[in-house]
Amino acid sequence: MFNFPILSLLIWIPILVGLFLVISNNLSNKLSEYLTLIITFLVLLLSLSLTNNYDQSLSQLQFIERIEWINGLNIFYYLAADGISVSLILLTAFINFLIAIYASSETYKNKSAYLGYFLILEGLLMGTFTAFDSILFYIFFESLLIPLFLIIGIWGGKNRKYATIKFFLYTLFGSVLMLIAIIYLSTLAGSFAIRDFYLLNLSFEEELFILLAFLIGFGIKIPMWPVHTWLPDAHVEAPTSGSVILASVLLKVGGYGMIRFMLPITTEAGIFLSEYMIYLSLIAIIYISFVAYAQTDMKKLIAYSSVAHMGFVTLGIFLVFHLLGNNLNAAVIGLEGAIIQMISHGLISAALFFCIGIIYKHSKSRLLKDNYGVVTFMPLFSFLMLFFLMANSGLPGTSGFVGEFLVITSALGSNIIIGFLAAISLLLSASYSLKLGKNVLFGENTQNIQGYKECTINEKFVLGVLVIFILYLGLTPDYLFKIIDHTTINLIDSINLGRT
Amino acid sequence: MIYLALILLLAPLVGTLLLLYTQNNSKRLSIFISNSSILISFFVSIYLLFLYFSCNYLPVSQDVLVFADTKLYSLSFGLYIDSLSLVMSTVVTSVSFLVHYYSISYMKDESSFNRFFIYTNFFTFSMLLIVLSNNFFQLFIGWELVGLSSYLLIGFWTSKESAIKANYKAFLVNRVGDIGLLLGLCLVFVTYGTTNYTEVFNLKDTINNSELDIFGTSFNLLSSICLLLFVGAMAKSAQVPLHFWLPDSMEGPTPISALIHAATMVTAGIYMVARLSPLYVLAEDVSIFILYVGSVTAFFLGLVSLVQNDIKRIIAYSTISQLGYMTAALGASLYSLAIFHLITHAFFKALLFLCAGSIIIKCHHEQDIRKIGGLRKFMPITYLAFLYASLSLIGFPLTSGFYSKEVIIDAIGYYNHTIPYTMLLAGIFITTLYTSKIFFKVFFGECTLHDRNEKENDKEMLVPLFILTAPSVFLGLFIFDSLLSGTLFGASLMSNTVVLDFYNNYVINSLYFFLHSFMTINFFILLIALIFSYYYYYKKSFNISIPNILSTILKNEYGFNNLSTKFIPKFQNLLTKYLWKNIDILTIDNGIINNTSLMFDKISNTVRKFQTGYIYHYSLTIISALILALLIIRIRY
Amino acid sequence: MIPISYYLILSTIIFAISIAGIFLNRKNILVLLMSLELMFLSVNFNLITLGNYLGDLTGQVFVFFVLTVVAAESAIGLALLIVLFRNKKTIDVDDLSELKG
Repeated sequence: MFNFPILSLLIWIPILVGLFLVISNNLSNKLSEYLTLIITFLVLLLSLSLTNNYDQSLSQLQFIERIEWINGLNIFYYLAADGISVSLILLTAFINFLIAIYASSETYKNKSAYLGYFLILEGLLMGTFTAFDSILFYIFFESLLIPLFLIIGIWGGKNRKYATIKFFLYTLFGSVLMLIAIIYLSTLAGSFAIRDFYLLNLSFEEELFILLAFLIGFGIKIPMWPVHTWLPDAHVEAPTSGSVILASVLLKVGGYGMIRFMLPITTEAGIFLSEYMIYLSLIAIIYISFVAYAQTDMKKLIAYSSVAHMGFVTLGIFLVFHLLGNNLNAAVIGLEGAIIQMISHGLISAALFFCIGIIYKHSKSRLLKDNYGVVTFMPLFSFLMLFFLMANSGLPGTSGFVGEFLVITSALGSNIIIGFLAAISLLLSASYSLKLGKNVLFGENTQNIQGYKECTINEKFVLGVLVIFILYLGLTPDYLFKIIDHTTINLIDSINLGRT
Repeated sequence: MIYLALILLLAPLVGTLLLLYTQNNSKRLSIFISNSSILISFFVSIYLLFLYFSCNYLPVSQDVLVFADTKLYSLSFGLYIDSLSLVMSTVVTSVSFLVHYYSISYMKDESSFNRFFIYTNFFTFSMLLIVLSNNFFQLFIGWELVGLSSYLLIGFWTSKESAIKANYKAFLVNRVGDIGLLLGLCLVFVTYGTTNYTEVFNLKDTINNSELDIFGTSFNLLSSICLLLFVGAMAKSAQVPLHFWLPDSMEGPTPISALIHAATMVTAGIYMVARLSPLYVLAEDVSIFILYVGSVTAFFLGLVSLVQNDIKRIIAYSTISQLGYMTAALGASLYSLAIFHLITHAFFKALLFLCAGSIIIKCHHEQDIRKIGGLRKFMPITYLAFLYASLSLIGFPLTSGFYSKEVIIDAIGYYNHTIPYTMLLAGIFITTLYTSKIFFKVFFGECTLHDRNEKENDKEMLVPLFILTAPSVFLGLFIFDSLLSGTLFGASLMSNTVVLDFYNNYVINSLYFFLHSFMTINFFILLIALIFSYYYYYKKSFNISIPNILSTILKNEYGFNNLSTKFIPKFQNLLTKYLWKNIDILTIDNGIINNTSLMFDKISNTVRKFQTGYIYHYSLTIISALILALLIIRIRY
Repeated sequence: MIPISYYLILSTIIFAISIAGIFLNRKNILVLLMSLELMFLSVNFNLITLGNYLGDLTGQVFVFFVLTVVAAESAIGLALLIVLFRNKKTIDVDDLSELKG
């Protein structure tokens, strides 16, 4: 129906242009900015047309591109998209476009390379979300680390060496385990296609080990408690746009992997361990919220809050295991909640990191105690930031609420205590988000020693667009629901059928 | 009809958006936009009310905007139009309009004048969202938006330290209640598969007997839902123990206090329980709980206001106490009586607050009643308005407050709820005392104004007082019979029989009730309290020393004051710091992660010593290894 | 006819000398290179001897290859040596411990 390699274009256009930008050292700043802007806009248009052409009423894969790649090993260049991929592709394209706009008001040394790495990252993310061959997926998944490593390592803050190495080794450790699991599965299946893994009949012990490998691999990426400690460090050292892409899209790769690999492949082991995994998610939601409250650095606070919010994603995913067999409807609600939470957190955390970047630009400090009374000098900015903080605390009418609502509903479908513990986050997230607002935005400030100034037009545009989308997803997210609905229902049905 | 209701709902929202857009324009424009949008809402609401009763419409429930419509479930925004929602929206819009009008003058010297109206318009919209909602989901959204706008309004003065603390606190306490409400909503959603009121009400009997298992103990599902929802109502309607945000919310501008206390925020909880009366009627154990929460609030928090000296705080505690009466009525399944008191209270409490605002502005933002006095001559109109509002508040016969409050107390007595009945009776005494305390201290005694030529406030501030006086005094009598006999709310409120039984056997009609009241114990308590306060506050003919312990307890507001300002923040700081420093940094990060890397560091430091860098060492190793290998092979084979 | 073991013993002796040259030489890289050459020679010696003994020409042909490779290798080695000397002003083995861990 659609004979046009749109997925390949989505992947390779940004990667090639990005490589060109990285290699051509002497490109002027203006030129590279325009080039990045054009390419990201093009990718956004492509992904919009992808969404438009995506047939929501079908639950099978669409836009399939399948070419032999490494013959002897049965590895294919196999790209496709389902509802979950499409929604995440849209998020990636959108956030990268905003980064391109925002970056044009920033000054960095060697800017063309900086922007080039972001383009490469964008292409690799597209690849990760569309690869349906496990080796292809693994290659994209792993290469994601490189551009981000360079972005933080070259353009990062004072303590960047420690942060980058920690971040790199942490995630590498997890993905190596994942690679082992993939290779093991492929020897059984005789192919590397993810879909073939679904059909395998694994013994319980095999499933258990594979589940643990995936859990560690993706759990570090998301990150889950207790393997989350790389995230605050990486965020604090990363430049603003680096934090944005890290929080809003890179973390979602973990959630995406869990849905794609763990749910269908290791169902029985998942059911066996679901209780413990749910506990881990609840710890992430409650304990991390407490830790977030104690932070004195704005970026760390938001980084910890990201961990807490991603706790809802993992909770929604693991609840599926818990609910299989007794309440399938609640399982669907939970999984849809997890996906929507991913998208919404992508928007909200991006917005908050942009905001912090703007404050930092003026005051040169990210500490809570150095920033106060912003509202007096940047009223519009403060209004927007308060909005994002409210969204972060899950205010209804913003997208932050939708996912949490669905996940809590699903939790109540299995056990009221889980639901209650998850709902406590309503209070905790408000307490740390508003603490940030209370300390930074409000308060008396007559001197303005920080030199606050109202945002530039670029920043206004970026934040304004984010407000619109957060509100849109908060008020009428029906379109997003339509995109993911058939895919999730089909996924859960097939998992359930596979069991019986 | 549905389009008109949409206009009613959306006019304040459109106003908000227009105001946002024209934020930097003139004051006059924003006054025009904000007031006219609320006025449109008000007129539409009145018209709809008229239409509803004159044409005998049936309740209408219609979805307007699809939120999510998937294969398994659907959520949407919708409107529910019946007598209850229309009466309520009329109350909300009328009080809101008067407060808006009043604010024009009250806020005229503020630098962020326009911002104020953005918030108030949004506040009204959020409340209407709750009132007109036809499903739990929208109810929750409105609920939180009300919380948001109150947060913004209480912290209106963004550089005032206490205001920022108060709005933070208010939002968080409300969030505690929201947890309950959200859980209730999710439980409804997951058990019924829908959140629409009508559909849930139709399905309610099917799960009436299903159980919910918590830690091995099973609870009735419906009761759990009702209880969880009521927790939300407790926070919003300031019931014990989630009441302590309300006195602090006085940090906002005074018109906002009027808005919060009278129409748009604290009534949400009462309204919700009444709206969901079909569910609450079935949950009898929860009803008993509600009854006791209400009466405890009415009595004990009324006591607190006796020792307060800030005029706004006294009225705030009085609001909490009056809300206690409404809650008690809800608990006794007297839903229409609770709504009745809600309506009359909305008007006379708004009046009280607006009077207080006038007084405060006249006294240059002095709120301590010990430093205010003798204003009767300077502010005759405010004086009269305050008098009528006070009479209504203490339930003086024939006023609105009399009808709505006495009827609750009598009905609770009629149904033999002895303990709540006693507490509510004692509440009359307390109400009278604190009301007359303000009244006598502020308007009589020595004049404290420096400028002897002060006059009444502007016209904009007086007109709302005039208008509000009418419903404060006469509305009760006007709707008493139709309300109690069930013609006003009809089927929108459950358990009409309970009220009807009481009405037919005890009240009979408003005139009879009025005459009969002189023979009841209520009236004697009122009389004694009036005489007592006349001599105590006005003549100062005797002095009572309250025991020290009692006054300390009351001054500390039963410890809630310390709890919320000292204990909880301190505990939270300690706990979070401990978790972060000791568990996150010391144990996980340093203990596990960094120690692992240190271990590798040590191992590789030991191993690297073998790399001497000399070629002959390497070659020696290679060759000796080779020889060794050859030897091994030689020996084994 | 000389028994084959004589050849092999000779080649072993040459090999041992070259190894000793590598181990014991602490002075000069030049000696190191020479020892390497010697080692190759001993191996070549073995190849020729055993090739002749087994009547297989492959061994002898292989020696030609080895010799060319060795020649190339020593040329490269000497070139490296010169570059090294230019940079370090020494070819003393003891001074060359850059790879020390």
